[in-house]
Amino acid sequence: MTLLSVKNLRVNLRTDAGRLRAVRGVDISVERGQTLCLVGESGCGKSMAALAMLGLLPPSAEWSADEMKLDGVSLLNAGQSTLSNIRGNRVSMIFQEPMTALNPTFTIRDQLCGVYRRHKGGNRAQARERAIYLLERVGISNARNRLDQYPHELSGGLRQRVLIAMALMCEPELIICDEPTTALDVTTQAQILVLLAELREELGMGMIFITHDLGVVSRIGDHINVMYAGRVVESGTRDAVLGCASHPYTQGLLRSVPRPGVNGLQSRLGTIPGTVPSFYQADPLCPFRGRCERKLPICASQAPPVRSGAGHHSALCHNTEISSIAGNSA
Amino acid sequence: MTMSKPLLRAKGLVQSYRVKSGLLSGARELHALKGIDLTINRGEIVGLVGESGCGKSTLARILLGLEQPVSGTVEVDGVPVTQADKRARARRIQPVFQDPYGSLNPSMIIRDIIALPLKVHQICPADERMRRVARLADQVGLPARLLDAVPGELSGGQRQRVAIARALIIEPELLICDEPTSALDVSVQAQILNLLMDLRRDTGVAMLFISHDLAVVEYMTDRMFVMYLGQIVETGPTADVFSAPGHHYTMALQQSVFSPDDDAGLPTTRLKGNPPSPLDPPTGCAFHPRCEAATGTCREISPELVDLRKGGLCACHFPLGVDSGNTPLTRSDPHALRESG
Amino acid sequence: MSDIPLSGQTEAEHLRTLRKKARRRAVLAHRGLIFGLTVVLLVAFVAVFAPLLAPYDPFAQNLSLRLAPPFWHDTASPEHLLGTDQLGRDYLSRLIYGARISMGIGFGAILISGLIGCTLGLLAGYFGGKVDAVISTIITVRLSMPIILIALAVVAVAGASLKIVIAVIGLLLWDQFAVVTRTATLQVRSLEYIRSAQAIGCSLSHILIREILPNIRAPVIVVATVELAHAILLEAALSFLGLGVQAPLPSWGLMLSEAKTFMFFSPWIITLPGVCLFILTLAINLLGDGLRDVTARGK
Repeated sequence: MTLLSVKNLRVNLRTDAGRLRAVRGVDISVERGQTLCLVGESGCGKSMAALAMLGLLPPSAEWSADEMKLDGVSLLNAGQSTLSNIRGNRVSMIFQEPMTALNPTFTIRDQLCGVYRRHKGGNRAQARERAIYLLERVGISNARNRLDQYPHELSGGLRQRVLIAMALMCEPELIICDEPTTALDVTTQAQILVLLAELREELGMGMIFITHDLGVVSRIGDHINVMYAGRVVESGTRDAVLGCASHPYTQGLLRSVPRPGVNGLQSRLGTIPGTVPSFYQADPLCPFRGRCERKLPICASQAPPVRSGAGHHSALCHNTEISSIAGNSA
Repeated sequence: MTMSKPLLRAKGLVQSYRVKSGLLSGARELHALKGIDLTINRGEIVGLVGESGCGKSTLARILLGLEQPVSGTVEVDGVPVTQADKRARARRIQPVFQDPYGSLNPSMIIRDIIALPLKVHQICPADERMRRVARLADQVGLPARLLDAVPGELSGGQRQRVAIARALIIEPELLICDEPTSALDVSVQAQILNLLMDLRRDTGVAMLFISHDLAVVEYMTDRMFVMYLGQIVETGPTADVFSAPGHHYTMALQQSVFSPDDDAGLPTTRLKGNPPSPLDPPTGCAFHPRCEAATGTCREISPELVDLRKGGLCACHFPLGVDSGNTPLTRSDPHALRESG
Repeated sequence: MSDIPLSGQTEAEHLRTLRKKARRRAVLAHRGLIFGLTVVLLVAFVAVFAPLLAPYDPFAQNLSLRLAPPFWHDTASPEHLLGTDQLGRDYLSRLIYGARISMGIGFGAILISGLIGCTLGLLAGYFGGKVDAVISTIITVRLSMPIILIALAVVAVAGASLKIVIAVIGLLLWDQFAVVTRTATLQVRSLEYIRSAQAIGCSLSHILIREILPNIRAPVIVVATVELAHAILLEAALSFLGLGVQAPLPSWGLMLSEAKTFMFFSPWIITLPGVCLFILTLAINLLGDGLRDVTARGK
């Protein structure tokens, strides 16, 4: 059974300049033991979508969805107590900024054990044992002594490891990672990605991984949703989306990444002309049509259809053929 | 104009700060730079790679004259520059900083921001100034209607274009780009990298390109330096460093670069541990606690930069791709050699 | 393109106009701000145009019509709307000229203290280190001095005149400017646009005045309003004690002082300048709070 299934998620933010439509009808589904990557550039709504799933949106936000089920149970009409029992317990989140995601006035022990005892009960010793076990598991040496340290005594990489341990305290079924490695150095990033991949395998969790980095996606994603202007414009398995990108936006993104062995004197990077469309206007037409190289007259008059190919590979575009290689593998 | 004289030469730059580490413990010395030698030739793009805390931004600030090193010299065109000729240095070396949101004065309009260097250096009359601003805005791809906007109304990419235009308007010979694209989205990064390449072709400006992103450095630069904990551990033509890295740290960095099209999976050879604190650097080779090939020699003797191949230097006792057996490839003294054997 | 919301406007321009509208709405919806602004502008207007607005010469005595009550009394004199004082001078005219003294001293003093405080704060914040240590010590010393006693002592020695009162108040009230400017400068100093200006080769004065000052103006303006009210009250206090503005100048504080002998038989004579002072300082403080609310929101 699908672990998390969300249909037609919408998030609006009330701002001084009007209603900002951050997420405009997004479908998400995650299986156990799989990683779904939400990829997109800043402002595409990927973080807002994740926060909505956890019920952590800012007060100025309003959201709606046609369906939101965790393990087959609908969360749409669940009360506040049900939701806070799920949050941090069955679903947990790892944030981008390890510097600010830990409370500086509490020790590592307080923060780790607090989560555990709130949701699982149990005594101090049990919580402490689990904290030590997990700190060791995420690769922190000398875990026993680290328990009594404060967040500022740890480096960025260590803090991110502590955050991961904290997210795992209650054995969540789903873990949502919002750009967990963006603030880290490249070598540390590699270590954290390896760790996350191993843990997912070991614990059989579902994972939603939010990132702007296509390189990271290629290493950790099973399934990819490419988001643009609040919508999923392309969705499919990793090999299908990265190897056989069908939406012009995905193709443009892939062309703009510098590749190993390529020097700027020999070739230029591909770019996407123009800028992101207005966040404030409801627009059922293709959000990418203003920047698209392959746009057709129909793009300015009709909403784009979902073109799907084999293996759940689909793209929101008038002018594309899905010739997915993933048809065989999926 | 001879080509033999480098545009910029830094010799033996050392910088350290006093840091308070706790309430009771006294101030400690943080060695940010430990003897950096660096040259940049005219029209060349030189890369500087390293992780946070390795001292690359300190080096940039020293080259820009925003900070005085404890020791060492910076020469431009063979002439040492000192704090006194700040304005002369500013005319030749200009920065492009990382944060496009912090690098523009939020209460000035774009036109005045770009024109500021001309005004400060009194280069041309006011009407000519505005013509130059318009020309440069066009060159960096900034729409003319944005010239009367304030920075708050521009996107990150547009702001970075403004920062580049401001840096270029007094026609400096060297741009110091400190992580110019790391705060930008990938598609915007591509536009800015292309722009910098075009500007180099059209104006011949040299650049020091500082980044933690190896793929970007490989794309942009002709020659590169790899820094670790305040030292240069490897240098050489970019193509050589990438095709055959000598230092184990360079190799680790290279393996940490993920490009979207190869499905190599996650890196198998992993760095051990975490980056050490610059307050408490390891003995010997600074990289030895994380290095797979570290031996007793590495723990005790700090390797010097030695010739690895034509035009390439590497500070490692056991560089990659050189079959040195168990003999460290250094000019280390025999006493230490005996100990390691 | 159809993505652009309004004809001829870009998204950024559109957003700018929307934000301006929202800002204007926020200002108009802030009652304290509107009240404060209205009163302060009104008093400033009265102060500037005092000679045109005052029905009588504020110094002209009419000993035959002393202590005439204001219009709400049955025995009010029809010529004098707010009555006359103990020397038969028209009270309305004196209050109007009093606004001139209060506003003049208030603005004069915060101009001086703002200049001193902002300069010290900018230097301390920008240079840090030893400069900061010295200036912080000066600020601490200043904070430890009792304002009113120092003012009394100085005025007693130097003699009381309008200029001296402005100078004394100005030289005493700079501490808040210095503290706030220093903190705000510290926050701005490390931003990259300051480093860019240094790397361009800008002079120190350019960096302090053009790059830093405009970006810390919001807190400085808020401090200025608070200190304006402070200066006006201080002047009133000094005048009340006889060491501020000297008779026959119509200062509200002096009027309070002169009226205290007659307050039991003619209570309005002490109430009117008191109410004026109260409303003006309340309005200035409300204005300051409102400005702080609105600028904080805009950030």
